[in-house]
Amino acid sequence: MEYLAGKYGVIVVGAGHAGCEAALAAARMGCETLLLTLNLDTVAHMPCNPSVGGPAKGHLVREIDALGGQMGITADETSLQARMLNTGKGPAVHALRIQSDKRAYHQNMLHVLLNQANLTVAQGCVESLCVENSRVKGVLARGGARFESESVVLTSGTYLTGRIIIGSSAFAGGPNGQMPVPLLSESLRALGIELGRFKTGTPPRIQKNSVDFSKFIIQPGDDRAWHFSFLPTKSMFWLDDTSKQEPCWLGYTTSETHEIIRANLFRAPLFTGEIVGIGPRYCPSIEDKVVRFAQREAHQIFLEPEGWQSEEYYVAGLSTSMPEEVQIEILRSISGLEKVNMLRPGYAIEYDYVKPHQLSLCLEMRGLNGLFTAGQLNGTSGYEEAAAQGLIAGINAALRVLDREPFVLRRSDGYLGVLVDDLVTKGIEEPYRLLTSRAEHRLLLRQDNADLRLTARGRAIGLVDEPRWIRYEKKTRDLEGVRRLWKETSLSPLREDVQLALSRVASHPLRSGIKVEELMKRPEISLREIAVLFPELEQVDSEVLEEALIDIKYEGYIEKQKIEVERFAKLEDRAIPAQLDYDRVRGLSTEGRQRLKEREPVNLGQASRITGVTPADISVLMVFLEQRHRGGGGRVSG
Amino acid sequence: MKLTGLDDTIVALATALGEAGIHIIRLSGPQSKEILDRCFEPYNSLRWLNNESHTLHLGWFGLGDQRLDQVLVGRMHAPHSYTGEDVFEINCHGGAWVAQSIIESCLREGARLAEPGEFTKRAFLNGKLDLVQAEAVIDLISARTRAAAHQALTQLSGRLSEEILALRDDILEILAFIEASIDFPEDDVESLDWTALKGRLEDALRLAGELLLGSKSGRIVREGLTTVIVGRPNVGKSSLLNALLQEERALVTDVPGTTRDEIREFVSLGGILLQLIDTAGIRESADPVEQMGIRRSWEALERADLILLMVDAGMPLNFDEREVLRLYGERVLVLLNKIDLHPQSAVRSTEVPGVCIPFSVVRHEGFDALEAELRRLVFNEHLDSARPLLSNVRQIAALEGSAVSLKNALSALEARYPWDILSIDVRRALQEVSEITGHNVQESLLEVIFSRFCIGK
Ligand SMILES: Cc1cc2nc3c(=O)[nH]c(=O)nc-3n(C[C@H](O)[C@H](O)[C@H](O)COP(=O)(O)OP(=O)(O)OC[C@H]3O[C@@H](n4cnc5c(N)ncnc54)[C@H](O)[C@@H]3O)c2cc1C
Ligand SMILES: Nc1nc2c(ncn2[C@@H]2O[C@H](COP(=O)(O)OP(=O)(O)O)[C@@H](O)[C@H]2O)c(=O)[nH]1
Ligand SMILES: [Mg+2]
Repeated sequence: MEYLAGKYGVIVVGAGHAGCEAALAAARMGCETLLLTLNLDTVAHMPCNPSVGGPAKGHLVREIDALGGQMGITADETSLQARMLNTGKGPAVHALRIQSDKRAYHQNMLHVLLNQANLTVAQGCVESLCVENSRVKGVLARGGARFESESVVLTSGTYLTGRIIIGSSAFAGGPNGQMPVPLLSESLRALGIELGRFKTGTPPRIQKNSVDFSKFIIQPGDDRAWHFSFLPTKSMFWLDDTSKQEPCWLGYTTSETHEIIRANLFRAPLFTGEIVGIGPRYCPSIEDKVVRFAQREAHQIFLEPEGWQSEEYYVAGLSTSMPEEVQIEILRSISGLEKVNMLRPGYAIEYDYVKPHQLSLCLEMRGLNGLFTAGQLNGTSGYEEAAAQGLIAGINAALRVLDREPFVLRRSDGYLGVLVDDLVTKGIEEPYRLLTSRAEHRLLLRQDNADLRLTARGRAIGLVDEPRWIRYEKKTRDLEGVRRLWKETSLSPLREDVQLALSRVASHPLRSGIKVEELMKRPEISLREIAVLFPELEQVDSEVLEEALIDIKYEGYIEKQKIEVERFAKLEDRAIPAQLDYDRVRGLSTEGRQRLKEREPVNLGQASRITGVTPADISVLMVFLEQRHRGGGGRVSG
Repeated sequence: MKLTGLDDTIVALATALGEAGIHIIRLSGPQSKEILDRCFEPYNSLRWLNNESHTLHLGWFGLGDQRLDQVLVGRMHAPHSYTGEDVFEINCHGGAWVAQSIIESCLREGARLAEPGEFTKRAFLNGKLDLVQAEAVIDLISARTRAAAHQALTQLSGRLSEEILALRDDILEILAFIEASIDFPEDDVESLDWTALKGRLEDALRLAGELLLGSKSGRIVREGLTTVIVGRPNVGKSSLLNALLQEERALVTDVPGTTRDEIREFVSLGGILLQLIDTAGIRESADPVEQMGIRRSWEALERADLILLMVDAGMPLNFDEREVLRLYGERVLVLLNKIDLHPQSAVRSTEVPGVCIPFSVVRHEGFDALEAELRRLVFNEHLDSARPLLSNVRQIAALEGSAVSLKNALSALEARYPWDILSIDVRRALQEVSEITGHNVQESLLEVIFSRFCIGK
């Protein structure tokens, strides 16, 4: 029996990484928000790697944090170990990765949700959407509860018509032993939403005390305590004592492993036709790797703890959907795992996703006002990608309720902008993962300056609270001060401390006075040499100094990218009116016209990124828009 | 897709290529004045510095020893110009080669080649054309684009496309190495060390350089084969030129050394466009004016696509002639002139490594053989078998841009910049060649990363 169970501003369906950010953002922006999820025990669950971050993903987490999101703080507080990757490859690609305690992560997030003002959390399974006149009115849950709202954010992850595959056994199911959601897909299709089917997989988990760790190479955390959040955070496990971090372990598959896999390929669902969904190229299963890179003698595997002093380890690199007994054989062929006990088998999962080109840059379904989708439901994979979309969707769902302008980040604003634009404008053909190489202004979109880029934006929409804002203002002030100091101070060749500092790094001695800024451009000069010359900077946060240093060292390239951004903005600033009838635009190429109709870009920049739209199409469109703008006719000048 | 700016500075030839006479190169955009300040030397610099719109200025294009040609520059300032932006029109009379060099200089100084119909598009967007004309602008854009696309496809065939694809693959692979190591730092992917990376960048740069060299001969099809007629005085060069032009253009005299200046003319022989340069003849001379002409002859030889070495059938080869054969053998056709006077040639065929055509200008003999030989050279790409043709200005500009970016990447590498910085230059280099091949950079990059490296932990 259907009954009205409550009225909200925003309803978020699903409490995965996307749903949690969406619900928190909407509630923090002052909307009455309901978060409905299948099972409260799996809130913010990590069905795969017990880790957050890495290249591009870590950048995303920093941006989420700068906008007042939760992922960074929760990852920091539940951190088992933290490593800054890519430190030798340049400031733009430094990337933080944190191993987190899975259970603690879940508990931490649940605690935050349950203590958030304006937010109601409840268990429930949404089976259909309520829609009237192309407007979302709410959701209908199993059991007849109808919840009404102005906006709905769907973040149901891999649950839609989920199907688990292990060897020859295949059954309807969600990730990690959860129930699948069979009905919602139908409800979406009935609304005219186009769905596709993807697959992903996860490796087996093993029991710690059945592993001989002496056969593995230890992978400790860094000896600097790294955090995602720009707010002060600490790991609940190792506080800031880096020596207490939990290590990971590196090992290799053997030729025996590969033989076992080859001998059992005829039973591998990936090759028998059992799996039809498209899998991610960047996350291949071990059987896929062995087949495609047949000449390789060994593949890396990492043992990662699922939690603090956990009895359970995750075997990264061994994602598989082989039959269970083959998985055990594979594991035991690895040196150090001869006697291993497999706790949970690896599996593949197929699921429905929403083709994201149907969305606007606010992640709202075009033609279905008030329906937002985010996370793996949009065909992405990864916790960070999910959280990022959840945040954007949650913000925009709230802004719609508050009757305010939508919040759209550009590709030049951050990875958040790159991610959303890629999904919406380009569309996807395989599970989408963010990569730093997808960002054209990579040098400007660094993880160290995410707060400088985005805090003010978060403040404007009401997500950045006072403590965060105060820290941000202090950082910008300090940065200004350091920049001025280095710009204006000259160093004399008579200063012995200067010459000494230079000689230590085999840098040419000074012959005449030089601006600090100039000196810092020498490749061999690092912060260490400069810092000793300015005792007054001891009070200043090292992150501020590093920031200022990057700006000076890479000035030429940074300036060039800024000019590119300006150029890019010119097309981005040219709006295309909604509901433009492309059939009335003469001179478009056939393919261009079709793509434009299908994608409905909101500005010329976005239009120019659609596959199949040529530069000539953009020129034609530009002339058409000018023509339209000038109206009926009449000479203007000439 | 290449994002073209809305207010950057664009350049293009405003007249059709390949015809004799005057070429007009048009520059439009905010930087056009700066660009001309860097490569135009007006005779009356005070008047130039007055910055007055709608004035004409005579002077040299190219500064110092880069001087290209005497040109007439017309300036029209925003908003009172065709496009509504600052517009400069450079009139030159040095033929297609000079026009092209002028465009290339502008590109080097920061202009970009105009897209099809772009001047007109800007004129419209800046309110210079009325609404009625908008339709015509659109037609122009789409028609020119179709034509250009057709051209691009037909020009990129065979060996040339292979070589450009090879270059693109090389750069793509370099970028894939860099990006794979950045985006998948913990995967067990092969990586390049500093030295290996340097080697690969240098290889790519060398390949780009070779293709660019080849591009010079590639203009042949559209703009003519730069052809120099050389030979000692009185051998009959000017007579040949006149015969080809069928009009009295160069001076024909019996006094050695009367042809002091280069004369450029276009003739079509057997369907091949020749841009003929008559020179002062190679000869020691005491006359300083003469000497300048002679120095120019040798320079002309350096840049010529084809050299017609005219020798006198009645005299054995002299030192200069042998020198020309030795230095430029592969590009030389020998015309054994005046066989009407000397049916028994004094030049032995063993002395000529390549083709030697018995010739008589006065009796009009040998022209057919010359024509046949030309056709064979051009159409069988025998002209310079090591270098395929690259003939489209746009493609050449893209290739040059790519080479510049590769150079920048190398200097960044030398300066020990990290990989995220290097990747910027390498990616730009890739984008530029991909303009020619029409590949999507991002998609092909991922394709290579995932097929070449075993990614995924
Ligand atoms: C087996 C597996 C392997 C993976 N491997 C990788 C990997 O190797 N690398 C990688 O980057 N990513 C991987 N991922 C992806 C990553 O885990 C997800 O991208 C990410 O967790 C998605 O977050 P989400 O919030 O979109 O969805 P989820 O975290 O799946 O959350 C969905 C939530 O919605 C709820 N829900 C669903 N339907 C309903 C409904 N009808 N009513 C109410 N609530 C509902 C669920 O209870 C759940 O809480 C893997 C995922 C799985 C399942
Ligand atoms: N008999 C004969 N005389 C020629 C021939 N070609 C040119 N001449 C003559 O040689 C003289 C010099 O010719 P010119 O073209 O001025 O020689 P240039 O100095 O090489 O330019 C002129 O008197 C021509 O008429 C030829 O094929 N046969
Ligand atoms: Mg002469």
